[in-house]
Parts: sequence; structure tokens; C-alpha cells
Amino acid sequence: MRLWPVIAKELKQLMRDPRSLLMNVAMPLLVMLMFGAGYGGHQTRAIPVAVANLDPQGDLSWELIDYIFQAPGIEPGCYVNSEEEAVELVRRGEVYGAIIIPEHFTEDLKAGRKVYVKVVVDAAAPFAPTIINSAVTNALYNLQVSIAEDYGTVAVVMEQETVYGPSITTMEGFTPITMGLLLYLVPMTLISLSLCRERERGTYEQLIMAPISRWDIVGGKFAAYTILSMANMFGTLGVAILVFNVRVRGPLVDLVAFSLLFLVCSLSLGMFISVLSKNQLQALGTSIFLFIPSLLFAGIISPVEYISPAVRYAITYTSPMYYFLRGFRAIMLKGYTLLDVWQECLALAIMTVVFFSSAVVLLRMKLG
Amino acid sequence: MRPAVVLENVTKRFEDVVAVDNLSFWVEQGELFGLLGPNGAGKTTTIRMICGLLEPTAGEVWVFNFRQPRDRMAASKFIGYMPQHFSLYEDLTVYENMMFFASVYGVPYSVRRERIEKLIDRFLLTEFRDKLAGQLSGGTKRRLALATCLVHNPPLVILDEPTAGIDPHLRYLFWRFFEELRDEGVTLIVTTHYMDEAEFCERLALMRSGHLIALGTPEEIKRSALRGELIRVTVRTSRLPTRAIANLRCVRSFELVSAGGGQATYVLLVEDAGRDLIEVLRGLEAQGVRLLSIEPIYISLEDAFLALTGGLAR
Repeated sequence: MRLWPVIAKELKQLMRDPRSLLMNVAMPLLVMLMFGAGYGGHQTRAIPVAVANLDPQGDLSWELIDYIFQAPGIEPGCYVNSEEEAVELVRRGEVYGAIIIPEHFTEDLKAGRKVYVKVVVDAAAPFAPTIINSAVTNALYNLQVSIAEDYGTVAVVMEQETVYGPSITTMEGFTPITMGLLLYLVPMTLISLSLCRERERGTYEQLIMAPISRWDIVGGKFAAYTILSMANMFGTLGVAILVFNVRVRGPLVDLVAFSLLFLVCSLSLGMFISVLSKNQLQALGTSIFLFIPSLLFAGIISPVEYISPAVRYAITYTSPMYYFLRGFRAIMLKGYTLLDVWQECLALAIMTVVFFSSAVVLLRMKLG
Repeated sequence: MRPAVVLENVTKRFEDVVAVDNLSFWVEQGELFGLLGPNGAGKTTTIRMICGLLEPTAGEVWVFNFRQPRDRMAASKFIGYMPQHFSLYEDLTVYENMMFFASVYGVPYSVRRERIEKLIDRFLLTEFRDKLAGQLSGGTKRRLALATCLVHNPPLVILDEPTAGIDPHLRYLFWRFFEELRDEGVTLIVTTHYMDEAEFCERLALMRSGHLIALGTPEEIKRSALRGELIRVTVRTSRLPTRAIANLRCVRSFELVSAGGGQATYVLLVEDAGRDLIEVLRGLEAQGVRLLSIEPIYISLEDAFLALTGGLAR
């Protein structure tokens, strides 16, 4: 057992390398701060929508417009007088969508005739169609309920309730994702370079000449990087909680323990990459290559159920990121404890053991 | 006493390149042994197989009672190895590098500090003690590498090109260190492509293109290489006197070293330079060749090497 000398050596080297310190400690903090500045706080943010009210004299058309802009996320960008103008604004990208209320809207409605409200959306803009459609649908529904009350006709009223809400802010919703990205990419990339750096600089030859086992090398590096990456973890989590008032609904200790498990998992994956890579460039490339699917298929962009089963079983369910997001969201947003997310813990633990032991077994203690 | 290192019919093949071909030699304990040869001769490959860093394709490598690389962990405690290129940590200080290797080699904590201080002192590293290794000059790095490979008091020290590219003063100092270590009972294997240095070694193995071409003391190698001695002759001529030299009976073979400006210089192989000098002189003058100078040549190991590899005395 020559674990301690290796740990001490690695820590010394890490602390002396401004690049690794910057990447491991400063960068995550910066990202979290940037992120909080961008999405934190309580002010509402909205995308602009053009409105063409071709029934300006009617009262119901204006009531509908009021209902539309009660919805969060959209605001009236400008009012125009014709459908063509409204569509042109969307086409030019000045607004994300246009709502066109036809002539005689109020009159037709009061006469009991069917009316159409036209919605034009910019399908090229992500999220915009969904936000606008739901705002208009809600508004139409509210208008119908109000008309039904005024004229004494029947209406089906929807009562909406949320689970674990409605107080989850944008910042809180995005915190698990940011934590996931930072705890995955940064430690994995850093440790994946470590062995390759020794090989490239030639220090590996002197190191393996010593009576040192493969376990000492992998374990020592792993422990040192875990210690340093914990600073990263506490830093980002601290910024989220203290600076941006992110509320952790479950026990904080459980959240930290769960994050640590994920951290250890991404480090062991990085170590595995390092053992297989011939040089630093290759290791970096592999880390990024492995990072991309976890960005696309781990439930960050869309619910995993939207992903085709083949990819879901092959990539999503084998990605540590998927289990981390599930567990972290559960503890932070739903108030679960570590015991409640034991399945996610088990998945991460199994992956850690597999990556780590593969790294130990596959480490070549020879040159050439 | 069993030899410190034994190689038996060792071959190392990298894909389709044979780096070391059927190499056998042994190194006695307490010997200063030189492994000599030009770049690409297979010296580093041989060294790495002795260290257990490479696995031979065929044959056996033994270090003391350990079979390499099977017993690498056990054997490495007895080996101090200084690779060809600086391979200590440039972002650790001189002291930290030595401390790290002392601890991975399991040097007892009680003697670590004292031994490192002694080595720092011996290899003139005192003023660099707390400097980062990356900031040291080439020669100082080399001294640090040597000091570090001695940190666990190994009975066998293997040095791969320890003097390549350093100034003559330090080269001389290094060979003094090696002789001191030998006198302390340490077995040393030193590779070099400087033939002049090899004269310091007690025994030599000469390698070329992966083959062993000679083995023995420097004197043995010189004698066996040429099977005779050399004379250098410079003549004034407009036409090369090749025929005249070939007519001399005492000359076993000869080679044109330089020609031009109405002069030509030859090196002649004879049995005894002192005796045959006169005969060459007379023989050439008798054939009308005008001599400018004639002298016996001191045979260096380099000449011996060239002779053995076919550069001279074909």
C-alpha cells in the first residue's frame, strides 16, 4: 500500500497547476454565478407577441387580449391593424408569434356564431410555440367561462393543482441541471488527463519503476481528485443556496451525500477514460464525446419518455447523469431523503464500481 | 556469487521491428558495466527489459533472483533506474521529488530525511533544494535524477544515457560518481554512445542494430576488433597510390581516409605498428611514392567499434 504518497503528490501538483485550479474551482463557481444572474430572482421575463385586433370596437376582443397576457412568459410586443402586418412581423423575427382576432368577433360571439382566433407562431424558435399556444388556449378557456357566467350557459371549469409547486422558481428548476453538468464534465475531464499527462511527460516510466501497484496509482489519483472536486461541489451548491436562495426541500446532508456519489462516479469514469487513452488530446476528446449524449438523452432537454426506446435503454439508462438528475431533483425539489432514492444511489454505485475496477484492471504497468 | 543481471537469448520485437535480437550477457555484482552502441542499437529497449518495464518477446531476464517482468514489484526495490529523459515531476521541488520516491519505495520514515539530505549534499543540490524541478538547468536535472534513483539505496543502479548532452565537466563528475558507487559495492549498468567514456567501464557489451557484437574489457574488445594495429600515412600524389600500398606485404588491409589538394591519407592495418612502420616507409619510397608523414595510431574504442561494424578493415 503506497496510497498516501500518491495522494499527497497529486494534491500538491493540483494545487500548483493554475489551469486545474481554475478549471476545477473557479470555473464552476463562475458558471453558477452566471447562471443565477441570468435566471435567478423573481422578475418576470416574457417573449413579445404581435396582436392584430380587427374588432377594435368589441368588448370581448379586448377581454380575450387581457386574458392572453395574464399568462406568464408572453407580453404584447406591438398592436397592428392587419393580419398581413402581424404575419410580416413574425416572419422578420421581431416577435415570436402573432394573434389575430377577426372582424366582428364580439358580434359573432354574442350572436352565438362560431368564431376563429388565428395564432401564427415562429416554429423555428424553441419553446415559443408551446408558450404562445398554451397562453391562447388558456385565454380562450377563461373567456368562455366568463361568457358562460354572464349569459347563464353551461361551462366545464378546470381546477388545476400542482404537486411540489407552485413555488419552484426557474432557478430552482435549473439548479439540478447545472449541478449535473458541473459535477460531470469538470471532474471527468480533469482526471482523464491525469494519467495521460504522466505518460506524455515521461514521468510514468519513473513512477511504475517504483514498487507500486496499479491499485495505488488509480486509487491515489482518484482520492486526490475527489478531495479537490468536493471543493467544486460545495462551492457551486453553496452559491446556489446562499446567493440565489435556492430552497432545498429534502435534508441538505442527503443532497450533499448524493452529489458526492455522483462526483465519485464521474471521476471513476474519467479515470477509466484516462487508462484507455494514449494522450491528453484523446482523453479530452473522449470525455466530451461521452458528455454529449448525457446532455441530449438524460432528461435535460426533454422528458426521457420522449426518447425512442432503443436510445433510451442504450444511452439514457446507462448514463450516470440520468440517475443523478432524478435523485437530485427528488431530494432538492420534492423533499425526498437518500433512502427514497435508493435505486438511483444503487445505479450510481454500480457504475462507479464497474468503471473504477475496469480502470484498475486495464491500467498497463509497462511501457510501449 | 550469482550475477546481478542475466540475459538469456532475449529478443524484443515491436510489431515488425526487431529491436533486440537474441541477446545474451550477464553482469557480475559490483561491476561497472557499460552498454555501448549508436542510437537505435537497442540499448534502451534492453535496459527497459532489465527494469521490467518491457516484456521480452522471447528469452529470459533475471535480476538477482527475480524473473523480469514477472517479479517487477519485488525486483524494483533492488533497482535504481534513471531513464534517458528527465522523468521526475517538474511541478514538485527537488526535495519533494526525492521525498515522494523515498516514500513509494518504502524507505523507513526515520531514515528518509537524513538520507535525502545526504544525497542532496553529495550531488551538489543544496542551493536548489526548494526549487521546482522544472526550473532547473539540464545538468542539475540530471544530478537530481541520479540522486533520486539512489534514494532507496539500491544494490543495482541502471543509468540510461546519463551523460548525453551535458557539458564535459559534468560528464567527468558523473563518471567519478559512478566509480565511487562501484567502490561502495554497487553494481552499475551504464549505457552510452560516447565511446571515450566507455573506457571507464570494467566490462562492455557492444551493440548494433539489436545484436551483441562484442563483450569484454575495453582492451579485449580493441584487440579482438582489429586483429592488429594501425598506421596513418599521408602522401603527396596526383594519382592515388592504391596499387603501391596493395603491393606492401605487411599491410593486411587499408582504407583511404581523405584525398584532395594533391594529398591523400590512408590508414593501414598491420600486425605491429612499431615494427612495420619502417617497412611501409621503405616499400612506398621504393615504388616512387612521396611520403609527407607516417605515424602509428592510438586505437580508441570508437575505432574498434567501427572495425567491428565493418567501417574499417573489411
